[in-house]
Amino acid sequence: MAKGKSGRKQVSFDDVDVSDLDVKPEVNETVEKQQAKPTKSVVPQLKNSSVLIPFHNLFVLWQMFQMGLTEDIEGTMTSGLVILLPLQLIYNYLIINQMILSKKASKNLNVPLLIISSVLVSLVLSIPVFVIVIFMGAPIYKFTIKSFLLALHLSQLIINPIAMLYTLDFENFKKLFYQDYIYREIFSNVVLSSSLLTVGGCWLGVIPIPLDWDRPWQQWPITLLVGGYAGGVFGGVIALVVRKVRGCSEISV
Amino acid sequence: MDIDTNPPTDGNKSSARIQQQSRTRLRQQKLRYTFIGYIIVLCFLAITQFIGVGFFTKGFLLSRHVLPNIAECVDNSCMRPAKYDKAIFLVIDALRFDFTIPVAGSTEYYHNNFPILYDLAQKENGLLLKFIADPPTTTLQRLKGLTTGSLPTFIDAGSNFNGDHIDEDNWLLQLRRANKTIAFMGDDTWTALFDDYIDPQMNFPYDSLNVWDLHTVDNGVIEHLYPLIQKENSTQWDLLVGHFLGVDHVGHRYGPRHFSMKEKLNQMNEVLEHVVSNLDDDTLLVVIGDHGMDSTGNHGGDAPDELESTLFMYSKSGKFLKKDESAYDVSNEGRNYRSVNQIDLVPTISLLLGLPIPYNNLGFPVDEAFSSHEEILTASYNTLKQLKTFRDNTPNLAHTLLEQFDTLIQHYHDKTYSEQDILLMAKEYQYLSLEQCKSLWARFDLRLIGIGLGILFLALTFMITYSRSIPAVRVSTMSFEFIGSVIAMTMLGLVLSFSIYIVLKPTDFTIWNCLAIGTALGMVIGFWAPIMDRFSINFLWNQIIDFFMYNFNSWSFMGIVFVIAHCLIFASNSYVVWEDKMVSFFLLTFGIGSIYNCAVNTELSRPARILGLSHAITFTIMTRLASMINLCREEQRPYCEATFKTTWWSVLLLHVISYILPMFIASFYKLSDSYHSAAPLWIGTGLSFLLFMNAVYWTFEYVQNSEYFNNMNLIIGIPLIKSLKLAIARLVLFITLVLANFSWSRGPLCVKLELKEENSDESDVSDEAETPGKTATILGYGNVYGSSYFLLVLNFTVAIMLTTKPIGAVSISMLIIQILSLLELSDILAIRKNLISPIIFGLLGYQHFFSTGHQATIPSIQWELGFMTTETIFMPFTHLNIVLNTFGPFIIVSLAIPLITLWRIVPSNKPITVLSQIITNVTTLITYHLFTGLSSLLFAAHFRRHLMVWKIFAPRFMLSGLLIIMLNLFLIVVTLWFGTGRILTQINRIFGK
Repeated sequence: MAKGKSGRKQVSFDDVDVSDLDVKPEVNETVEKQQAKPTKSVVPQLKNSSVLIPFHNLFVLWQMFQMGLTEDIEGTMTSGLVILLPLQLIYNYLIINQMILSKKASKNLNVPLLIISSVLVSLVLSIPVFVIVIFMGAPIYKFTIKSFLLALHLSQLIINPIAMLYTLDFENFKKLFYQDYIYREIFSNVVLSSSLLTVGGCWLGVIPIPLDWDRPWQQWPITLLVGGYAGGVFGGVIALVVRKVRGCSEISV
Repeated sequence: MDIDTNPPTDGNKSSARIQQQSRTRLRQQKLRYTFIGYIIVLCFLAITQFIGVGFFTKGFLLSRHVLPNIAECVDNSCMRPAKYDKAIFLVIDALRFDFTIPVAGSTEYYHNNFPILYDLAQKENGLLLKFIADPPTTTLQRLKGLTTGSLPTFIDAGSNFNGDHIDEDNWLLQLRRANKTIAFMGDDTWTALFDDYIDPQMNFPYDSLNVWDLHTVDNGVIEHLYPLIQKENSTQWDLLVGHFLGVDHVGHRYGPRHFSMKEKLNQMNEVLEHVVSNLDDDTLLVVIGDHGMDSTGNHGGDAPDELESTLFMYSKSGKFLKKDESAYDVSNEGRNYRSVNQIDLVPTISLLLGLPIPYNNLGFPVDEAFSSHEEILTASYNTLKQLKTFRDNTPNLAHTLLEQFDTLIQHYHDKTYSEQDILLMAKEYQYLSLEQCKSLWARFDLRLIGIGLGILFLALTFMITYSRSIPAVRVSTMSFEFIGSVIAMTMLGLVLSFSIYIVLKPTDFTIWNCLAIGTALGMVIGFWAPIMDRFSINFLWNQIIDFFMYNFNSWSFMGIVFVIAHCLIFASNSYVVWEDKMVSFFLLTFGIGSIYNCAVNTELSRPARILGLSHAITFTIMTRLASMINLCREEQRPYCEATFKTTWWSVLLLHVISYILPMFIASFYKLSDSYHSAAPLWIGTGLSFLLFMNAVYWTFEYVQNSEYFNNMNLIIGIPLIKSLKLAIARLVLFITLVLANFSWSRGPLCVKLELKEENSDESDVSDEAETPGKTATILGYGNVYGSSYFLLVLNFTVAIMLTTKPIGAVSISMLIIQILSLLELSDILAIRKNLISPIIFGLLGYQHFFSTGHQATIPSIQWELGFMTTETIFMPFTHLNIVLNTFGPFIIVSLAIPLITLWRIVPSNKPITVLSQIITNVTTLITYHLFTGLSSLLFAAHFRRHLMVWKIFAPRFMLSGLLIIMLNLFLIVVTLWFGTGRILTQINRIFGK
């Protein structure tokens, strides 16, 4: 079992003087703000968010455990990636489809090219993810392949949806950080929220590793993988709830 | 930075100046006043915490009640005639069992190099057994156990340095009462314990704690032992005790896997050959190890490696009634070899020498030591009688196990069972009795524990209020109110508790306990009174809510998460074991977080962002590198590989560091343009030179210890290297701790006045600018406080780097770079006033505590470094080295904490505001340590029945307790009184307007 811990940054560290935790008390304020400043969100809006909760994460995870993740980690993670990639392609299609439906993306886009290149870009960007995983304390000499496989999975779960959401236009993505209430934006978008909580879940995934239970699933990097996958789904659900709450409050005002 | 001041008009100039001077003086007076107020308040707070820690410690590390009775045998019914007239009792410190038995195929230096014991034990007049010690495995505890037959208590382990005088019945005392003569040579712990019984003519003690000296003690023992065992001298003594320390010292210094171990064991083999060949017919030879050693060569805990040592008995005439061959199975490093308890030696030796069994004995005679079943049976009968007497006189034991005893005695008289069965039943009785005593004496005083926790909790709540809840500006004006009310309330508390003690006369509470509780409660009330007077609970509550509403951002969220997580660590033994990794993980999270924040921060200009990014990346890389240096504690195996070793490359790194570290620091100084005047002298010259001396010291140390160089016969002899090392260590410590601090107190500044000719602006800087046509620029003005204060940090850093082993010194230099880049970061990211900054400092202290080869365990204390400056124990110096070594990282961090406020600010017109911000950071650091400390104490108390309490929770609580005490003292005395006080008044005097 690897005792090095990994994961990635947990939250965004922005100097916004607001707590993202208590959404409810601020609802009125939100509405006022939105009325004062007509919706100029830089986050691409999606029509039907509930479709975009990455439920396929759970399937991939279940499949990996079925294939014996605890016995042969490297092999199973590779085949898990093989399962994940086509699912990510479909997921990408769903994202772009929702965006086209909500008229955020023009129909002239070369959809297949976009979908495939987004997956490829995330594959390449797994290298910086790997570096960060190492920086966060993943073992350096041992378990290199496992850590890299973890990075491949994570970059698919984190970077790929974001790349798709912004149709590979990262300049647009930067604008997000100029927002006043960045967390509110993030948590009302299913894709962003699930990406953020994938990171958070992965960060929390280190917690079971040191326990002296000697269970096979405590091996590196299974807990992080599970944390990341589960965090993604959780993030999607959270975003849906936040949207509901915000939607209700908008109607009530 | 340019300063432009409008010169006052000529007419008013002189009067204005006088006015200004008096105003300045007034302000300085006010600053001093506020400063003293703060210091006194913090002292009071520290005292409250000390009382809390003291109570907890007293309740947790309960000492065992000792019966003062001495066993007497008026009618000789309780003992047997002596089987042997004389005995030679040789202790080979840390002789682990597997050192003495043949281990086939092993090429380790510690195996197969001490064969004589096993060879002799193959005959019927020799006996070799595995000897199980009771934890804690420290020599003092073991000697007490080996002579009194009683169980040790944990608190004695701490007093190993003092070597308490023994006041229990023991077999040396019994020998003395029988008018026998005891000769002694070796470890001076014996003299401390048994001075009264040893014949002063034949007492040859040697200093035991200088673990770097492998030969003095052993050679001394041999020198006095050989003549005394000659035929003509052997009538002078009846018991000869020799205690060899070489094996233990090799373990401490190099670990068992070092070639010196082989030499040492071979030497012991020769000694025993000599002793055996000179042995009388009626003399019993006993050779024992007092404890074992773990794989690093240390001991003190309760791992099998540390507990298993050796018992060897031999006599030329006697015969030992051995068991079946299969009981002495040496395969598998003797795992299944027959073992006896260490305290069993006490009744055995007493009965063999014809003495009464010591009164407090709990052990049972070793079967094989007697020559017939008859003898064993009487021996065991005597022991049972003694056990019964002891139990009858111990209040909590008197009324239990009575029936078993009666039936047992009946069996002895009836002889209905076979001898073997009776013996087994007797052993069963002794086992039950022993277990009962163990559980009884491992009892904790929950009241004292509760009081300690309560006081600490009250101190913590006040500390939070003081450091974070009340506005810092208000706090600065309240010091004298605090002082008044605290003194008044303490008086009241003292009087009240005293009268309560007089009136109620609590039976189990001493007067000091009562007074301490009175003081602590009085102080807490005294602190709260002025706060409640000025603010209401509502106000304080609203302050907290306000904090979460308005001042709460991701950074403070992160800080709170870290503190909570660090406190929760103590709830599980696994996390305490892996605390080093957790701390690194927190710091790395912060590092990655700051990289991320620098990257996306939209308020930063492009150069600031790049600078910030580079600092954040430096911080993260350094943290990651430092996290790779670790010393594994036993519980971390097999998932941990220790990298904390003294190797040739780590010594080489020290040399590299002596060039690189000053360069790095200089480049940080140049960033704020303050590498001037004092800085080049301090950093460029002083630091480089002293670091080089450190490197030379450790090079000598390495050369002295390496097998390769020892075989090379260098021109420089070992004695010369030794004295050179002493000289260097003393020189470096003197320069850094005395000389450099004294010169620092004169106030070095890292600024430079630059005059520019051609500028037309009318500007001057105080009186120093000569003509109005010139522009004077003070370089380094933007970091006046920080650049000067950091020099003080460097003074202590060098001293700490000297007292840290090479790879640890590398980690300390990483700490310095981490601190500097963190300071720059906190300026760029504007988190100076955020609570994350002091918390990260606190975490840095922990990280480097672990990466300088420490763990929260007793064996990982690096005692050997106490002897850097002196060859023998010399009161302040030996202890100073060990404190610097153990708490070094915490010292550096707590010294650097004011820099959060002071780094990169221009001289302030309001020094009191600066001071109050420093106090906020200092108290936040104390609060953080109080949080983790209280949590570790709480969980240590909660898990007091846990299997791992003495191995994991108790050492961790001791670390926390010591940290609370050490940090409070250091922060108040050095950081505030010496450091901050000097720098603020100094700069206020020079630049204050």
